[in-house]
Amino acid sequence: MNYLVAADCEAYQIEDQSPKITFMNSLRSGRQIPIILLAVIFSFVACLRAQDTNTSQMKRGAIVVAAVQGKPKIFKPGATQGKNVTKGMLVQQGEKILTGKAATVSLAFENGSVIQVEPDSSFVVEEFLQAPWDASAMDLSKMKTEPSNSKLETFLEYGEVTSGVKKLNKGSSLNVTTPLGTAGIRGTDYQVGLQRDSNGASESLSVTVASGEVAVSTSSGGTTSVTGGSSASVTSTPGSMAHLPWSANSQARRFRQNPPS
Amino acid sequence: MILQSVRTQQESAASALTPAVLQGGSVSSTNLTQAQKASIEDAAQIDAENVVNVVRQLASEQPSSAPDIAAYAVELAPNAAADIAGAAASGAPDFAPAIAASVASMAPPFAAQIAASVALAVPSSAPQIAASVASAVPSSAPQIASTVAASVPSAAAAIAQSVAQAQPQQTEQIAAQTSAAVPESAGDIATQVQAQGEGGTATNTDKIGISDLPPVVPTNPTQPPPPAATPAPTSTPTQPTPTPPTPTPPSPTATPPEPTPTPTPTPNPSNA
Repeated sequence: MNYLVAADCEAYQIEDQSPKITFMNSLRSGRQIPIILLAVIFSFVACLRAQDTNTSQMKRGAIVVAAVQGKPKIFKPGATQGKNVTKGMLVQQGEKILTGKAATVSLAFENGSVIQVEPDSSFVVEEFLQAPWDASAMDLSKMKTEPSNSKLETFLEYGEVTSGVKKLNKGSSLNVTTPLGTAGIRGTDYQVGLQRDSNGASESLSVTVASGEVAVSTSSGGTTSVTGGSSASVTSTPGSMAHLPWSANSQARRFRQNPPS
Repeated sequence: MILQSVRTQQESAASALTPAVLQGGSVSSTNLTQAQKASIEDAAQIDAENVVNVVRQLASEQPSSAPDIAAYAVELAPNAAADIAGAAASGAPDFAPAIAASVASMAPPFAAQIAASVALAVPSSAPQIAASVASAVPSSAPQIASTVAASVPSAAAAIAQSVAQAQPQQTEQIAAQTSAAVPESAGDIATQVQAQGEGGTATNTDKIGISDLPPVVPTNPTQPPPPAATPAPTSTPTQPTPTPPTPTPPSPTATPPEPTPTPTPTPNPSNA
């Protein structure tokens, strides 16, 4: 796993937790590190540096509300009072969109992607960076690929988003993170949903891919690739938590689900 | 097929977007005076330390503008984001949570450090600061809670509780990471987070199922939308026979896996 991850910058973006943990564990245990692993580590660091270089050339990209249905709200970070979402308004990094019943918001990103936040969803654009490009000389609607490299990090707390993404350039990334896992998009049409149980807890993550490919990783380190015409689901398993370092809540949760007779 | 609604919006989205791009995109609008902007810009010409000092002074002079002051300064000196946030908070402690969130949304990869810097400047507001930053960068909520708790360990349990309340879907990860960062408070953290998280907790995941879908049928955006999808999927001549799902190896850290992954046979009726 480490070798594959370290050799490929793009793969690292998808599965950024378990490789680091594995490496740190080997250091702590005092085991010798093979030379090949050191080489892999150096290439891994080089990948990170290359990514940093790319990101440093980017600026915050424009995010515009392209369409609205119903009465969705938008909240500044930490705010408890939201305001109505209106067509044409600019969305800033860190702002949360809550759609509620029968409401949707379509967000247009400067890289040509459109993400529709479906009803009963909570969605945050954490970071959107894009390298400068000449918008006056190019027609975004006719482009099949994004106009310049970009980085888009989003968080779907619950609910569903549907998206059409122009083919991303090498060095670009687009991730939809949820409490149960992350979908890493490379230029595709897809749908991501995070369903909750009756208590509001995350129950399952679904990723449906119409075309292209999406890498899905779970918070516990599992990864898989979903190609066009397929879907993947990630289900929570509240009964299998013994490996977590903190167990009090796990036990309580089990108790709630399996009360003693 | 499943994405018709989005596809049909892409052209209008592009037309809505182009003016914004030409006007400079989503550069945050600030409510600063020209004098305030000039002070920060002049300081940025010198070095980051000057920016930090000017931000502290401006924030103390007009506390309600401190979040905007800090955000503008971070645009000019992004590498000093954490220090700028801390300085602004020390100049305007009543606005510490808003300052932290404002700066963190400008530099999300450094959200945890920013939160910790502000919490160190105003430790009495550490729980609110952590929660506010977690709302701006929710994917980092567990790291934010643990980093702030490590900076202000006496408030570790309250920090974990506050962040868990802001991000109820990640309660378990928040509690686990905060407990690991401040093990001496693990008991209190468990108690407080448990108390607030009775209703909703995120859970571990170790099952992934994959299933085939019918092929995507291109649709003509000019055609009227299809009738509402019916729950019962119907086969079409182009629909392939679903193949068995590909089982995914269980997580190496997982406890005994379920016998089978979770296939989702989804002959997906159009939700376009």
